[in-house]
Amino acid sequence: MSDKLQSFCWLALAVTMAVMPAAASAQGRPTALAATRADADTLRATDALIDDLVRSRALRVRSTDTDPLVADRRHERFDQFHRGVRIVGGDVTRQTTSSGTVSVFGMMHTGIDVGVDPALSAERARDAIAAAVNGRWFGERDPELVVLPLSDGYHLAYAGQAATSLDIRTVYVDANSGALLEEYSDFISDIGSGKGAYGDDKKVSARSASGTFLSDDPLRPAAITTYDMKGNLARTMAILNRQVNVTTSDVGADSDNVWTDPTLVDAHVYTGWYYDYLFKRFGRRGLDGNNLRMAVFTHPVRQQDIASASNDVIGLYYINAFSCGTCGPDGRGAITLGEGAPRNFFAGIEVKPFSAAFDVVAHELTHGVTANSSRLNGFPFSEAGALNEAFSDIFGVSAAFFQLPAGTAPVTASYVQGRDLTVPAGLLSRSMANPASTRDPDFYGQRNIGGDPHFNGTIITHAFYLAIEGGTNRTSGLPVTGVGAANREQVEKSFFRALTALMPSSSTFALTRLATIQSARDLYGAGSAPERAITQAWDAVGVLERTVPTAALLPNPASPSTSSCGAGVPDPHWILGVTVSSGTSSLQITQWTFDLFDARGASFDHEVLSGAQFAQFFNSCGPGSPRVLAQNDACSAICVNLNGQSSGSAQIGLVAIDESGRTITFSTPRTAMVAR
Amino acid sequence: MSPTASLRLVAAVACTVAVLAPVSARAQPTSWTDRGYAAVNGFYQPTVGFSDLVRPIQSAEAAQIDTSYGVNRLPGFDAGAGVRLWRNLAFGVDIGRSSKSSSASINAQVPHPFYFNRPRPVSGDATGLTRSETAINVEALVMLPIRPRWQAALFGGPTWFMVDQDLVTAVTVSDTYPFDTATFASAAAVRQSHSAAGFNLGGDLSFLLRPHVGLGFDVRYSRATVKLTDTATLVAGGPHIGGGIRFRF
Repeated sequence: MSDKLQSFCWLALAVTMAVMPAAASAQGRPTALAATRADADTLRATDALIDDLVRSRALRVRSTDTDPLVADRRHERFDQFHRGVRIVGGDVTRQTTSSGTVSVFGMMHTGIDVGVDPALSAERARDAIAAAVNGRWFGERDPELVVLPLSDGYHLAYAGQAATSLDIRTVYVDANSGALLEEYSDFISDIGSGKGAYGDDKKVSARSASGTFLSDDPLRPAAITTYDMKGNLARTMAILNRQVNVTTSDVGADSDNVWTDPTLVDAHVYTGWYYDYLFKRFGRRGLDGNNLRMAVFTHPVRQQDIASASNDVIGLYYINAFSCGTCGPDGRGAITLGEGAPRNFFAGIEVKPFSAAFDVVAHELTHGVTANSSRLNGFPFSEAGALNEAFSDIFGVSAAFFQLPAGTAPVTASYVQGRDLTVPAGLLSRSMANPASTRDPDFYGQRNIGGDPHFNGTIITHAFYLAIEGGTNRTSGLPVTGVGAANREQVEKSFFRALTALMPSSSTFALTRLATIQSARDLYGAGSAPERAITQAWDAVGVLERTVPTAALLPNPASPSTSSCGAGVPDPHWILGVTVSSGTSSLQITQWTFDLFDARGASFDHEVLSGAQFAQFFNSCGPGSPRVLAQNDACSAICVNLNGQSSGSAQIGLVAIDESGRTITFSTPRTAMVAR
Repeated sequence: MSPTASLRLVAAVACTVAVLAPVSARAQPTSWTDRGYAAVNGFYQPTVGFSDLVRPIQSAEAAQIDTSYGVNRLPGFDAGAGVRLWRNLAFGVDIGRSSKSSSASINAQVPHPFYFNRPRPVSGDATGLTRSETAINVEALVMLPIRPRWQAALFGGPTWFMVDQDLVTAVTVSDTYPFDTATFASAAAVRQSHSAAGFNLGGDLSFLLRPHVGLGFDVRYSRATVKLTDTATLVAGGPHIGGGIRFRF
């Protein structure tokens, strides 16, 4: 962030905060905070502001931790409150040393104009939350009254969880009407496949009990227990939902300590290896830094039952793995590893049990680290969900490089996340080295906000890859001088420290850029090779400071879609994703245009649409509204035909008013639509 | 004392006796007229060091324990008796027993509890390892009277050794998470007992205080190779120097 911008942000924040208790402005907005010693004045002022806000209880300490990687550093995390009500995603991290504050990162919301007296009682809110997702209330406490920022503004909401027939969902309902505002699955899942092990020898740390051996690690400081659900999906779900408690009979067992179930072996051993990776690489004691117990569930279903399983069950419990932060024993989280699919269930493909790939197990466990540190949330309206997946990919693959030799064979480390899930290899994977090879984006302009967070995450993981290995981004053409594989630890530490200590819960890609650079600076010094490599990598993938509005129309080029666009839309047609992103200022969209061009580039259709129509169309990543909050996005998927022509191009232009009343125009690049 | 040095000592004693004998023979009778002899000795016997490499399974993987059993000095006693067969030539049997506890130095590679092929080096000493030898020496003896009260003797013959040796079979280590390093804590040992045939030879010089009782000292070199296990082979016996009571009858 430039000096001017930082000063502006601070000024805006300070001024707004100063008046906030008296009269909240109707122009509530989020502000990304990023203050470091590079700008001592801003840092000093921000630091003083944080102290003031703590005194006034607008900020409240969530945690205080000693830095395990840099001596004499402490990290505080603050949650932001609006008149005593927590603001979802409003949080700040402050890094201090004995000589004072080093950095402040955060996402703070100012000028909030919502009242805090709900019309709905907590009891009625429970019912509304359950009804919103056709589930039942899940939890022991009352729903939490929160202020929920959505892309159209701020809402007083109740937050809670509901258990559905398949998973557990976090639900936000309007605290006055009970209407559903937002909901998402607490099962953070990955696409995968797989069965069994690759015949490699592993040591199983087991506990001896009553003449048998249990997959319950007695040696590592954290309790690591791997459960064998024996294909009993109903019991698996009941345990995950905390309807019943686990018993010793649920723990994996072997009579002679020579374990014969490769799924159980891989799951238990890889979880231990991941704990070791955290400890040895980062000095972190487990998922929460305090040896939180680690629970792993295997065999949630039986592979031989796949033919009779519903698509939902196949998608979640066979060819998937997921982490749930509130599941399992004592409700402090668990991961569940899918059973895979036998060869030929998917046309000649064997999907291994998800325990077969160390990077996949480590990916799921990293969600536990995130849930216990930055708490990157899964809101589709933000980029934090993609960051959550990206960091899980990053430390899944990094853990593999730490524990395994690099290579292309099974049970080796590579930048192809999930490679070992299938035979043939790599059919359910994401490439960090070349995201395009797995049809994932490698550049910020290619992102699909509101889409699959795993998809958008490769922009981040590719930056991580470039910072280590170096190379040239295929889209931007920008080169990066990496630190080299021998020094991968430097980039890993920079990213890990950013994730666990510096980043707030609603981080954006741009804020992640700043946090990782600051982390590298803290660890290795200003101007160090890791700092340069990480900065170059972010430049190369197009993640820059988010200051001005942008718009993207993807993919580019686009191939004709085989999906139906509805009646009356002739073939060929193309489905394009549109993302409109604000910068440091909130926007009010007043007009937008849609232009179509033939193959020669001549315009043949020009439509002018209103702000109301923008709200109607752009509802894919948050409620449809002509207003786009600062640091937020509005998204849509649009079906396009070229009046029967087989190729051409499209472009969207936007007219908006920013917070200062200025009219701003911006547009997407012209996107090519090609013949099949 | 090395085996070579021991042999030199035995040879020197034998030569001394041989040189003295002719001189004495000129002034004294060279014939030996007793019917037999007996002797009881205390002795001191250095052993020959040896090493052992064992690979016990620890943490589902073979450890490597290399133990060096150094030179030991065994105290012992022996008793023997024989009868004169013809002129100065006698046949006898001597049984010796020695035993001592000592230490051994250990260099080991101890498997990591979580990972294959990441051994942790440890080193230390194992103490209280007992070595016992029982030697049955069958000997032909030539008695060489030197003066009326001095007698020398040369002897030699086969020896049957019975050896008990404590061998280190495992080590315990002190370690904490993440278990990447370890320090030696203790060793476990198992006693191995095996026998082997060898030889002995030596000399004795006695001074008769009375016609049938005297004092004497002897030197003896004995040796046998004893295979205790597939990985541990030691040399039993060695040079010993002793002294004690002599009887003539």
